[in-house]
Amino acid sequence: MMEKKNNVISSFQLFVLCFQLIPALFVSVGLSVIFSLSKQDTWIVSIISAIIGVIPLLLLIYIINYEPKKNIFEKNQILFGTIIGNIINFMLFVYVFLMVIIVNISVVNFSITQYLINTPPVVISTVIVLVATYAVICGIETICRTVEAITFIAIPIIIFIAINLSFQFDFDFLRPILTEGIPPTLKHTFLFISYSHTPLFLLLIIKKDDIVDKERYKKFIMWGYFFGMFLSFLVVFLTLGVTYPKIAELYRYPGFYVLRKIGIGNAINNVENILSMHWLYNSFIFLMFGLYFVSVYVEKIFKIKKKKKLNIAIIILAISSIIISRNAFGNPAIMIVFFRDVLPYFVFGVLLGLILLISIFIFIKKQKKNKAA
Amino acid sequence: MYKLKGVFIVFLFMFFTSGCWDYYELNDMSIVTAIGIDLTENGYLITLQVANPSQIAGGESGNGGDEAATVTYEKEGRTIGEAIGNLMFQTPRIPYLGHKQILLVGDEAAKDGFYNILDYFMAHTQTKKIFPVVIVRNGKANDAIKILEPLEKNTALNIKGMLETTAINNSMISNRKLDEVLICLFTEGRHPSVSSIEITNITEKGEKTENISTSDPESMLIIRGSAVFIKDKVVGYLSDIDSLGHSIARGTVNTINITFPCDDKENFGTAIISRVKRKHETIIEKKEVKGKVNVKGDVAIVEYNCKLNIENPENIKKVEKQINKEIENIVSNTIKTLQEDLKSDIVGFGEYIYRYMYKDWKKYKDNWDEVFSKMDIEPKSEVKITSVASTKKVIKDVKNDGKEE
Repeated sequence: MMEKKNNVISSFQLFVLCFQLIPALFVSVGLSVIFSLSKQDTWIVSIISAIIGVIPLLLLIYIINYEPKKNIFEKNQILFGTIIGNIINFMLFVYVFLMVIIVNISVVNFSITQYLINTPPVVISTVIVLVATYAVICGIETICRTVEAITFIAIPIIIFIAINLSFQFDFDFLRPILTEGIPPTLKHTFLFISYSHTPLFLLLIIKKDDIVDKERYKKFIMWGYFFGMFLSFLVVFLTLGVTYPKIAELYRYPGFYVLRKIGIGNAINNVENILSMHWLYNSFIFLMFGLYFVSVYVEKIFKIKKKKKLNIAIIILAISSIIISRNAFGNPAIMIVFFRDVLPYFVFGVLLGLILLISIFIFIKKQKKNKAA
Repeated sequence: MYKLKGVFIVFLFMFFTSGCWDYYELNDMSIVTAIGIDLTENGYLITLQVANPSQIAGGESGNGGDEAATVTYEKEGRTIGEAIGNLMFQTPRIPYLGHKQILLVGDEAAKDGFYNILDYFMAHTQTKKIFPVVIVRNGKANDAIKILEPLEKNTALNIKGMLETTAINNSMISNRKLDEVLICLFTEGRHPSVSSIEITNITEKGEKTENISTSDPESMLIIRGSAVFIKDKVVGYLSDIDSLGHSIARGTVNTINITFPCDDKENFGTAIISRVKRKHETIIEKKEVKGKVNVKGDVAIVEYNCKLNIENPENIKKVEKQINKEIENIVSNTIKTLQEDLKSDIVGFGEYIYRYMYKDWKKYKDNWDEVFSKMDIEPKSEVKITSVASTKKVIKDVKNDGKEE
């Protein structure tokens, strides 16, 4: 009997993936960094980012379109040759794996500081990564269906949060604007794009031919992008207008702090833990997709053919991510400095650098092909 | 075999997903309803008021007896965290701060500075930041927290109730919550103000249940104006009427209860002003800073002991003018106190420049309190009478058939 294929996804699933992935890294790690840098101008930064961010998104679609039967690792080998291709692939692997570890650290820290104070971090990390690992073992179709289901749970939560917080919104909190001038705002825009586009980068692992209705996929990715960026904007806008910019700057998880203000009279109160599940869903989706990305690399580099061996490799990757995330930073101060002073520039450099490099090479390759034809 | 594996995995996960990992029995926790903070030589004296569950449960079934509804614990520490940690030696249960209703700060501690106090509560994950902060005007939070009153045996709920009633019914206080105090502290061009209470007649009896078994308690707590800050330190207090003026100028008003003089014979009327809208702005004209406060609202006359016949439209305008004059006087006196005595802009004239004229703010930023104390501020009230009491005439007018006594 033929093994059931578990690698096709629909355009709608791509839409929900984009929508859920864009805020994943931004809310868990980037929000606090961006608030401390651009302060009350963060909402302007988020709008400019959504506009400028279309360019890297178009480049991503351009890369997906190239060699529809191949994923990003195979494309790199075609574009750069085996040696340089392997180096770039390794860089991609390290980059995504590092992001998986960082999101893992962020989720665990968030959980232990906000609601699981006495639970050992390794238990939280294991529970989350274990579930993600199971989805990765099942394949991309299962991942996408999970994301779809999560989205249907998350949307009513988002609507409830937005409506409730809008009643507490104070437009005065957003003034004055551009106090630092335009150049820093633009600089922060690129950091915002780095955080929101890094998860999108994971979509490159999908082969165009695996998309069921591929003629519509560009439109769906674009819609997913705009909805995802709108969600990020909403988080920034509501957090600033409800809590006050300097308080948002004060907190490590300002997106969670603002949820504490949600309540309907005396009937619904203290619901921040349930509502914040939405952000955990985002991070979980990132972990799942990130693990899938690195597992494809491992499958390719070690030429793993058997499903059992691949499953073991995925489990090893998951366990390593837990171990590294628990031991990566000696103390929280180092982690905060890394998140604030190193990570944004690292993300920005690697992400845009790689997207640009690959796009340029595809362009050159296509030009050469056209000339030869 | 495959099914057995599945069952095993599900069984294994039951231990992780039961949600019981960090769970505490309610019986193991003491629910803190109020926290009092005072300054001592060694740091802070923390007083926790803890709800007495047996009394609350007994009270509902009518068997409350003479037991106090709350128990207070106090301890000193170099920091607030240390003091609360030290309290563990006294209490059989873990203090849970998530349900506290109020934060009381003693006069000395408030004058020493608020930053350290706020820092603890902002960083503390258990606490929601939306409980009222109150300064004990003439004493210690430790004394205030222990005062028992007959109508509400729980001091925290008693003070909270008083604050809410005052804020809703006559707007004499601002009833600021912790997060609002923090916003004020962070806002450029505006200093915070916080409600204050006073203890009448501090006696030992006030702390005992004897105080609640009489219809005329010896010690009581009274809401008394607002505490005014410069940065994080309390520099003085506003009287009740000045506090009302501040609420009007700041626009944090629900309804205003105003008594106005209405003719030469020292007769007065009382009006309730609702749907109050205020607009304040700061204008910079030829390097001179000026402020404006405009108040609009609907007036309902509830008591009218005056000569003028209120059925006459002309007279309505006259009464309206008197009410407006009274409001302007209240606001103007408050501003005078703030400018001359306290030198603290708690209304937010500086904040207006910061938000709407940021370039100019850079010039005034460093010496704003000085500029504020000298600036011209013009209050203008334009409230309109929309309803009068259900009677058409004053009783004595009817009795005397309109003739003067």
